[in-house]
Amino acid sequence: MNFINKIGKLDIILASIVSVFVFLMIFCTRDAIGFVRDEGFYMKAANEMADWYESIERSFAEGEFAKPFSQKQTDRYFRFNHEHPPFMKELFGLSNYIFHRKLKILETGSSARLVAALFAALTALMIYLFGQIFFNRITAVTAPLLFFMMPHLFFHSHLACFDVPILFFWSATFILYIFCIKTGKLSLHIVTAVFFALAMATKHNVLFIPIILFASWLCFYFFSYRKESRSFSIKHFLTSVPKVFYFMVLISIPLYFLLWPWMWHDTVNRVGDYMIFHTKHVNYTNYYFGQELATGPFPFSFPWAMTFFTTPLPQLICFFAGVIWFCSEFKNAASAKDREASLAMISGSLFPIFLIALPSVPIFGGIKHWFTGYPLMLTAGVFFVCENLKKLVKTDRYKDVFVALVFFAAAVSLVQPNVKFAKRGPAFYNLLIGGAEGAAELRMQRNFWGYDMIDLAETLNKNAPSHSKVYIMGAYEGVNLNSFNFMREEGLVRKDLIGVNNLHDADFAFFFFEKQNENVFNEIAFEFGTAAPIAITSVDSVLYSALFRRTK
Amino acid sequence: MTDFFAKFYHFSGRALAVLFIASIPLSLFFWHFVSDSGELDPATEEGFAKVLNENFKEGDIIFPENDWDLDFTKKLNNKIFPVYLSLKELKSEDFEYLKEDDGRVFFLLNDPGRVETLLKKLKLREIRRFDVPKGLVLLAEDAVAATHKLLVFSRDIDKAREVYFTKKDEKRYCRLNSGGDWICAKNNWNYVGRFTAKFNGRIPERAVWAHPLSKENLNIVFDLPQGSRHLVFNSVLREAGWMSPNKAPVHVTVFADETKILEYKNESVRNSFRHKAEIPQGAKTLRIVITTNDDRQRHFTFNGYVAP
Repeated sequence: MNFINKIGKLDIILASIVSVFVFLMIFCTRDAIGFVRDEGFYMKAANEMADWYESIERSFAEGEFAKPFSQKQTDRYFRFNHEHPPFMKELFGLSNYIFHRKLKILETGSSARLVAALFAALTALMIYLFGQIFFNRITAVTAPLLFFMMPHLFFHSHLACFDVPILFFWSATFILYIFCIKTGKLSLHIVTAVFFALAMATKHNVLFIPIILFASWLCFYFFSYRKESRSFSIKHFLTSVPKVFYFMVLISIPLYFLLWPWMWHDTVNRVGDYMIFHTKHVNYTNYYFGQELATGPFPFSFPWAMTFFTTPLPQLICFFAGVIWFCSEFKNAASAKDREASLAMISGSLFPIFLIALPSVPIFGGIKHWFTGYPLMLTAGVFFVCENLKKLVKTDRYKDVFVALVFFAAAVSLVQPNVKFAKRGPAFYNLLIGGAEGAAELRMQRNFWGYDMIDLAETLNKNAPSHSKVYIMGAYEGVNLNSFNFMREEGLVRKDLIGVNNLHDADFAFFFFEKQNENVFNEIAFEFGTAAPIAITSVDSVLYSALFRRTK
Repeated sequence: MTDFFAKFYHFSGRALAVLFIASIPLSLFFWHFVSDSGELDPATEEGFAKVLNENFKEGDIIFPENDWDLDFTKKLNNKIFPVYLSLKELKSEDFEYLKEDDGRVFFLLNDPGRVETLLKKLKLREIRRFDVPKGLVLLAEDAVAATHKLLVFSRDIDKAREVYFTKKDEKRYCRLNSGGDWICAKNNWNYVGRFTAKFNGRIPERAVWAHPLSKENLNIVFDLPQGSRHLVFNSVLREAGWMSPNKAPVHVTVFADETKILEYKNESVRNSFRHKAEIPQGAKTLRIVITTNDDRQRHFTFNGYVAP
């Protein structure tokens, strides 16, 4: 099977156009979205990385090639935020080093978000190629555009975080695995293993991938492959295991450690600490139909219902279509390998949601933790809908025109919600729950992470006397002080303003509404002598954040 | 079975294609015409704000029925608060800690038809109705006179006689700042002052923040008004406290003069601890002593009152 033959010159042009368009859309709108809580930590880590690159430059100039890799040096630069893998932070740092420190054309925040925009472009490229190779060109062009017209995805694509990069790595690893088992090419197995190392160095989600894929392969081996070859020896078993699994041990793991200098020393303890941090991760309270989800067990329905209500209707229909299409491919597969490939696609699409649905797994951050499989089911769904749309038209020559018109109309219908929620994607709820108003009325989690201050910053910058102190609600999942300071550096907030986490010291206060923190509204009122904000942000009149000024 | 799957596949394909087409006008219509249909119109917002600005008195509280469209707050005068965003969760017993004894309750209603149900459910008596363009402001008070409170900790914390830490023989005083909080150290959490906390798990009530220090006693001393006979004392750890891996309890002891009248452990759990105690006749002072063996994330809060 030759997948490359399915990519023609036109596809290279189209894929490039789609990717560049997505990159520009994301990067050029970066200032519309405030820096979220986690970005403050990662941007600070990016500064540390840029320091490390400078130290490498200095040491190399002095001929001391080993010095930057000594424990003293690596501990110094990698200690901060060592509970998260390094790859993205290394890239944020590299961008910082080149575009902020050397070329001086971007500030720290923008240089990190440049990497985020690149990963959004890579995701668009991946979806295009997946669509073209597995389906058809109309799917390849439509799927990435529909993908980025989901307000949650559009929002997260801007962030200098790990969530969209790991979405890219998650989906691409499943796609590459299918190439591996279908082609059997050794080079592809090696490339997949290298790719998987980068994925592991991005976020721990992907550690489940080999377990899922190997368990699936084992089932097929015992129930199918073994019988087909009529061999039952251990040697046969060992030679039958797809080489990519061996390379995941022989290439991915060493490369993963090579990318993470923090793990070079005191390795056992540090790996242990990393595992413990994530297996015992704290839960962030979420509101779900009026229920405060602060401690487990959490409702099994949570990620399923949230997916149902936070995906725009056209894309949601594609999700269903995608899963049905994969299931039908599984059922009607011509060979066991095709069937295994279909099962891999189903797992890649739904396992992330299933994992978070387990009552003991903490809900820490909403849909960003399970949207990793969305590209797979969306792309397949676009194809399945596309094929069935064609069946609605009798005349052959109008079929493609009809399909193109329908998808164009779908994109037009998505413009309005995307514009409304462009600055606050995590607040998006679809029409099945009544939009923002319906979700607020039903007591769903309204927003996350206290980033929603760009519209308020305008009023603050205009009205605050010099060196005013601003309460940023840092202790309540509001703005992280690092994020606030990077927004000052970026010029989004006036440089002389001072972020504080103590309301008593503040002249101004941000209030970020989350049901669990609504008490802060009255705490600000008591402290400032007023419940009248000087500015608020809202969509369809649903309040998300407000700015208060002290009156006493 | 194969036939069933084939039929299902065929049917679902057609159905999803039709649904996809239908989703287009639905989305267009919803996001252009329906998604903002629940918002308050400017005249109603103006009306709500006008009624509150003209009639609100200190000690009153406000409940908007629509608790997500808060544009009306922009038009409020200073000192008009608290505005509680929790009418849906409200129960009649909550008023004991949400408002002052003689405080009244303003309801900003979109649906005037709810008045009778609301009054009955919350055991309130109507004082007055104010018409606004598309809604109603209902002013109500307790149907049965509330317990008269001589001393309310969350209200009167700035009137405490003194607040200090003791460690063995050392005594370290906290200083009262202009905002009415007792500042005990440079750490911004080490103070005793007004705060809010969810004692009932639903609505944040007024409370006193009193973060203890490891193996030190935090003492809060009040002069008891004449005729003080009953103490109601509630405490709860804030979310970061009870969710913390630190499970050290907070020990609470209350003295009336030198007589111990209450002693208990506030365990590191989500629920609140509610206690009542008798105050000996003629007692002059009330001393609340709070301590813990490990002060990490001991975000301790209390409220309550002294009654005749």
